Amino acid sequence: MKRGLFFLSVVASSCAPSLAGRLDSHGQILGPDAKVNITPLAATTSGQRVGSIIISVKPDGTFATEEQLPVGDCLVEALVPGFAVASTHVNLDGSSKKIDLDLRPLPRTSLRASQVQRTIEDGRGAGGANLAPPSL
Amino acid sequence: MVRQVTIWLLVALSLCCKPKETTVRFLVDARTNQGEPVHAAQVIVDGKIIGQTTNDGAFRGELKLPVAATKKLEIKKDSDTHYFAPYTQTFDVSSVTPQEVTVAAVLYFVPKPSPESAKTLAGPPITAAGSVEEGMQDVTTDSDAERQSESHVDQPREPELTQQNLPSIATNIGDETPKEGIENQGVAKTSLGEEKSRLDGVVTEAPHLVTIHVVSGTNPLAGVEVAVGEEGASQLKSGCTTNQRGRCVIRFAKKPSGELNLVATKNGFKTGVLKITSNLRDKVRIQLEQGRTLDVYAVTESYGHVYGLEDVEVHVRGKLVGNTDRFGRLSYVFKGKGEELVPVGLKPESYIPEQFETDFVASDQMTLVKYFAPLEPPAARISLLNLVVSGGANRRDLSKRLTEINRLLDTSVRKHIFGSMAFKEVPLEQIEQRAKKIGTDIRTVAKRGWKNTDLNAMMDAVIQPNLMIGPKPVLELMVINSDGKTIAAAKEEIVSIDDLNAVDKNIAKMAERIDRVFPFEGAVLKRDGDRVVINLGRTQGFGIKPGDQFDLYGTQAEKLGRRQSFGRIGTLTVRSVQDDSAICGINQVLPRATVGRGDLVKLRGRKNSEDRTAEIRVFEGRGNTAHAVSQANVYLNDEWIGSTDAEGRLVLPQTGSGELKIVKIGFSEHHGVLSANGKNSSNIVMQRLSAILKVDSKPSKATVKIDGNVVGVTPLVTPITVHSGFIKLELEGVPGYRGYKTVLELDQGALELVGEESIVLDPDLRSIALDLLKSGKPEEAIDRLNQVKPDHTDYLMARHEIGEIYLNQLDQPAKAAAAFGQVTASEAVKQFNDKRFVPSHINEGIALFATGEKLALENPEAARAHYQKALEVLDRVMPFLRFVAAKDYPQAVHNVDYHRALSRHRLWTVTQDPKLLVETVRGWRNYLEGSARTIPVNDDAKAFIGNAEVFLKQASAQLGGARGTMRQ
Repeated sequence: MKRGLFFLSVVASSCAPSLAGRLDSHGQILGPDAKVNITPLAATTSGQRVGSIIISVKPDGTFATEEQLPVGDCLVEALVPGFAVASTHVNLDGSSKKIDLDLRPLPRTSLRASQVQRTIEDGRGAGGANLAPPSL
Repeated sequence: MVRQVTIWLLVALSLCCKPKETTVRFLVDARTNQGEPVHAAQVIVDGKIIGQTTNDGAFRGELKLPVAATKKLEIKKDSDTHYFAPYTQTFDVSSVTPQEVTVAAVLYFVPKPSPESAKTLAGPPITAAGSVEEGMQDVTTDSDAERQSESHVDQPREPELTQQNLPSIATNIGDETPKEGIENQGVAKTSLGEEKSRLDGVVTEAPHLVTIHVVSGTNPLAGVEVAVGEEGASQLKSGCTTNQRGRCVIRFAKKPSGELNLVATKNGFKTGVLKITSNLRDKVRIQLEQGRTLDVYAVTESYGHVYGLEDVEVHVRGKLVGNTDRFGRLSYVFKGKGEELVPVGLKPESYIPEQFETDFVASDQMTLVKYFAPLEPPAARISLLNLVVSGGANRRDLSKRLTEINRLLDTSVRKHIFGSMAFKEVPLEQIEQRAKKIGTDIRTVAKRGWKNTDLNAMMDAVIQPNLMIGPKPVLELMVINSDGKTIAAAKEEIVSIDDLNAVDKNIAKMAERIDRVFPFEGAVLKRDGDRVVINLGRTQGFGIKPGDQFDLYGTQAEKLGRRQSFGRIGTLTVRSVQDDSAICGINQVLPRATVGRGDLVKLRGRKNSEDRTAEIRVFEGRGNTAHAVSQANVYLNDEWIGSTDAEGRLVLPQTGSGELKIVKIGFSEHHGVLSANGKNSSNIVMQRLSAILKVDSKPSKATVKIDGNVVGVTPLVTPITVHSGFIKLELEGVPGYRGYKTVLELDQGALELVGEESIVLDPDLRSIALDLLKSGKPEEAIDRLNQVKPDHTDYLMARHEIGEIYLNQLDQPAKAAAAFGQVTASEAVKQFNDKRFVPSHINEGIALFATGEKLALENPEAARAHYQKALEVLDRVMPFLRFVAAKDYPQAVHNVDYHRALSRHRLWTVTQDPKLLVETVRGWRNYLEGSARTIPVNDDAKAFIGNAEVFLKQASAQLGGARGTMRQ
């Protein structure tokens, strides 16, 4: 499966409108920060827009809505720290749907300490200030 | 029988199969990252609590543990006010021999946020007392309340004076930077610590800064003068003057110990006095009330040093209102009407005048400073320094002889100089000890003076004996005062240094001459018309003779008569001398000055300085540059006529003529002739004697450089000849050891740094640690870095590097935070004076954040406190990022901006506070639209930016009214 692409499979079901799916993290366990944001794009019959729904993702990458979604187009975004945002459009037509999203890993963040100036001769700071300790 | 055997076998089997145990003794010392002991911390081994620490953070206990096992030791501290990061360490029980496990645990702590403060991150911190105090920090300890009660108010009692209800443990986070005191108005007019530090140009310890905040009600008071009286001091010194925000900063060389007095004065306000008996905080608040105070100071002056007189009775309108304190001060709250005439009287004990009375016109500012004099003239307190020898190529052969001369010299000086009532010996050991305490040595003190140091209260002058070995050896005694100025000197040629009898004889002659030129001090006993009687006479050793002249010091009223000042008011000439007094004629007295009992008199140099017009300047020739020679003694016909000043200058007598000799230790004696009519200035060049140097080092094979030139490799067994005076000596190039640099002063002709005097090179623990790190041994590298002692110049660097290893390699952020916290607790780093360590603040913030991440699942509240503290640390370091070196700047900015935003994000997810959500979204946007766009991006930063986009979308979705929850 080529990176950078996401694949969508839609499975028709006889249930009420709902969405489930899986995020493919290439074997990485997902942390508690992993979320999926579902934003209905169409207005309701009363003309009002419905707010988005944020749901948590399980460590194995699966997710499922627990409440009914409005019928119509919606934007589904995978918001997982450590991976680029992945998104797709889904048309909800009253049935349950299932989607898979492929996550593209970002370069790993590492906690890298900033280094002190080892010697006075290291010179000046970015702002041009002398880094030598003050003479007291 | 079979049954019995079976049972016996089973018992034996169970015994031999039981794992072997040994006694493990635990020696635990638990401290916060600020160095304070942590009491009541639980000590846990393999999940079992074995005891808790005492008040001094110690735990001693033992446990039977199985051999050949690895065990986990934890130290945990619970507190109502703080979260302490637990300390963990593993240890091996290696053999059956009883063993000791020594643990120096550092527990990083952060305050628990109050519900209010968690919601208003942008607002000011909350003080321990719960009141909002701008710019003040809010860390407290469990025993804060007890410590708070130890400060109390001295007279007068009206003003409310408190130390700010602030932490006893100085926080390294969030303190108000004292830049306003330093940059906007200067730290202090007379900074005690500064003077001490300046004494020899060496700072021995980080200075201690105390911020003073003076208010009246809730309004800050500008222009309040704050004076300081330290433990053991006999006078108050000027501390600082408050700025428009009512604040100023006093800088101490080190944290004052013992009682500290702060006296705050301002026109129109009652004087405030704060006596701090222990535990001086970083911030002190003084509350002043409107009103008038009469400030009385009863003092005495002796050889340039002013002392407060304690227990002097103060009478106002004839009624005793109190006695002066040890600074000679009494503040009397005046409740009368303005412009009222107020009679004030002072009565000291054993000082003259026995009673002093004056009238004051009541006004906003009433200060009376009265000088008293002791009835008997004070003896000049003098310390005899060790003999300094110059010349003599082979000093080792002479060492026995010189020891003998030194001994004879001591005896003779005691007999001929200290035998007189005019002088009192101060043992050299006492002076050396005190000099060491203030970070200098006795030779530097003698060279540069000690007027602004603690030594001034101990001695008035030093005698420096010099021996210049040559064809005609010269013995010289110099008397140097607290300004570092030679005030008397005498020299004698001796036939040979083998002639030991000559030493005593010559010292006797020199003592007489010193008597003739020493500026003795006494007091006026009475005035009779144009004559006064002074308490200096013939028999006390002062050698007063008719014709001697004195300067007279007393009070002179200003033109409008509202203020009196103390100073030189006239001159006297001795007419006749009696055993213990002398009668003097008054030559002149300044207008509005009154001469009376108790006025100070100082003997002027017996040579008439007004007659001097010709000037010489003494230089030393070295290379193409000329350097002034100071403290060179100039003798005319073998009588001392003065010594050169810092610019090598001396004004000579106009009328004198004869043989001119200039003597300075380390130089060849200069001979010349002074003619009677010589009025022109002349430059004299003196030649330095050469010096001999031998150098060895431990370990040897160090490259030796003198003044930047390589002269060999240790051991330098063959003596090398260098010019005397200052040389720069450098040793370097021994693998695993640090280089050594020093500046030596080779006045003494020969210096042998060999044998026990060899230069010991310090192991370069940081370089060793770096090698260990490169070989994949981070724990061992930390062990080495831990060996760098706090007084070592590499200490802060080593702590930072320990933090880096914990953070980068061992994934132990709590220990990293503790290590970085030790760096940022250093005064110069805390206040961002030492810009090299700005990254330590950054890393401390990141390590705190990472600690929060580790705690998030187990203890969300502790995690929240760590996120909040991380945010405070990172917010505080923001303005200083420009001081990060250019090559590290992009990483530092991304680190700080990303973790600030993420700390906010975490705080929001923990609290679900809508206000924090708004700030979180703003924080991510600021990062993505600010530094993420403008600062160069590397791989780390790419990850930060990618994640920031994810977090921004999460937070924005929530802000946009998303249903569902971010909570798990």
